[in-house]
Amino acid sequence: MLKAWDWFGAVVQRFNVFLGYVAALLIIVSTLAISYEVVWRYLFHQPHDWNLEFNIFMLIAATFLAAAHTQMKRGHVGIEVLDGLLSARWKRRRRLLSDILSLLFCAFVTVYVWKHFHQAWEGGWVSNSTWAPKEWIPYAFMGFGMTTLCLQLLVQIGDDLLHPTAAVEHDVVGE
Amino acid sequence: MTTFQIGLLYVSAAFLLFFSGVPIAFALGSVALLFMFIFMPAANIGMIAQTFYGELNNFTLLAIPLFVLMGAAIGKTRAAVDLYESTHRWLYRLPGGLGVANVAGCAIFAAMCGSSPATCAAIGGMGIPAMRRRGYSPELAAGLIAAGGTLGILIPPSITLIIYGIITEQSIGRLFMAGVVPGVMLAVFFALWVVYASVREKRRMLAGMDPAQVAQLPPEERFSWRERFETIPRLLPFVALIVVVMAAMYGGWATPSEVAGVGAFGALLMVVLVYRVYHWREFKDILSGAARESCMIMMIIATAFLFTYVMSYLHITQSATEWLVSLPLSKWAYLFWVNVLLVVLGFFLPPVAIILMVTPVILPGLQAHGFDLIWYGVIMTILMEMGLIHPPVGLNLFVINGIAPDITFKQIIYGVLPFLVIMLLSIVLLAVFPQIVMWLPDHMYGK
Repeated sequence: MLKAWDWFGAVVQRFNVFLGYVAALLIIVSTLAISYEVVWRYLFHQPHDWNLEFNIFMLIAATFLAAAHTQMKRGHVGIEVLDGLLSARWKRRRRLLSDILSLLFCAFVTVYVWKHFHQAWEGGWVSNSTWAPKEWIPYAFMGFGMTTLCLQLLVQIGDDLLHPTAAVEHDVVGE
Repeated sequence: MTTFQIGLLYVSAAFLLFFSGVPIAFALGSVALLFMFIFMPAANIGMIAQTFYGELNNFTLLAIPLFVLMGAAIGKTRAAVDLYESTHRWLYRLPGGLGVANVAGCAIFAAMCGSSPATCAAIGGMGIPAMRRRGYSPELAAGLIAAGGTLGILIPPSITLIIYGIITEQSIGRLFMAGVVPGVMLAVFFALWVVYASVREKRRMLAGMDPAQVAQLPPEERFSWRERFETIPRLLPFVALIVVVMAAMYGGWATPSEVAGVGAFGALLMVVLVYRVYHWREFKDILSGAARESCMIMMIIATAFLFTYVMSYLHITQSATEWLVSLPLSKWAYLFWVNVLLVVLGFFLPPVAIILMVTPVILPGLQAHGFDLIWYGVIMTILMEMGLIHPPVGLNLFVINGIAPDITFKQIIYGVLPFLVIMLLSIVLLAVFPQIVMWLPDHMYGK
């Protein structure tokens, strides 16, 4: 059972590292798209109708796809001033409580994002712009990113419960 | 329940979660959701995905991940080493020249990468050991690097100013312009203090030594003009990039986000061409660092917008601002207490969270008292800079602690105190002479 959990945790973390790189690549894609637009507009004085929305989609995708990787590295900043006053055992309990509360919030948002994605998909919603891209696209990135974030939190909570004595540094895998 | 009671509960719940260690992004979102459940119609909950999307659907916000990528790319190269070498060789003749070179290195690197902790780590990693070898006290060496690193959020491009500009609906270009002169002014004040303190320390050190000990000191470094000029070519592309980026924005050829996009693209190109960073081993650090930092900031922005939306829906923001405006306070007393609030919040919270949470509440009061919001953006940023080096949780203090473990935390705190005083005095100076902030933006964009 413990072995299966560790295997599951390792797979989730490796996948989340991969998603972190994908998120950064999307930011790079955005730099290319913006640079292209600036040059094109300068040369031909005619902006593209897709560029602005495309880049916003990239921004949303990069933010949510990197969420789990950021959590894996404990990169979502919090106030840990009390940690200096707590014993190792209470520090672990504090972190466990923090992860559980974070998971509750993220799980709730995930459910509602997927619900909204479903509505956008079923309704064939498109954006109001002249380019009119499908609205389910950003919601798919949001839902996928939030789901991986929930899985990452679940792995960190599970590790804390199943390996209470281990130094719980979740940034050992993948890099 | 009265609005006051709901507001008190709302803020208390947020701080309870903050201090329990829940990441700020999730804490803000959780409290907002909880209060939506209790006090708002159920339909609002169903709209949460749309609310998140609507908040991030903002082209100006795109500047944040792009500037973060630009900073991560430059921060991972040898640019800091080259910059440090260059400023050292050019400024070594000044009294306290090594310390001044470190301040200058911090200011220029901060302008290139835009991140305070990255600047501290990059310049301090070389500067602190070099200063210690030359007899600088651990307090002065640590303090000047910690303070110099904070210039990153004032000298453009500044993510703090971008977020402030979005919240207050002020021009990002004007804000960036407004940050230039105060940023340079702070750097000069830091340098002047370093000259004074290092000369004093050196005199005291020499007074306590016998001639034999003095003879054992490392010889004064000397650099020929050739040695000075040979540092320039490697720096030139990055300095040129910053100049082009700024010129494009101030010239009105591109929006801040477009400038950030072109700048990030240019920085990546230079990292590959000038510093030959093309192995996956090196490049993946840039990617992963940029993804994490930008995600952290964007998640706080998304949930902080939700937090302030709920505050506004429940009339907490409006009641708080009405109360603040109705207080029998003079213009300057209002500014003083608002600044005290920001400094206290800066003890615990990162700049992005403070700006997003507090600005909607204090803004109407600032406007009612006739303060220019561009000017206040600079004041607020200096206050946020103070939070980065202010105990107990100033981020830069921990960065210095990490790169110079032989310097105690107490020595670091003692070392930053003079710089905190300089920042406070600078705020007073900018309040008395607001033209220092407003001259450049007014000159470039008109009043």
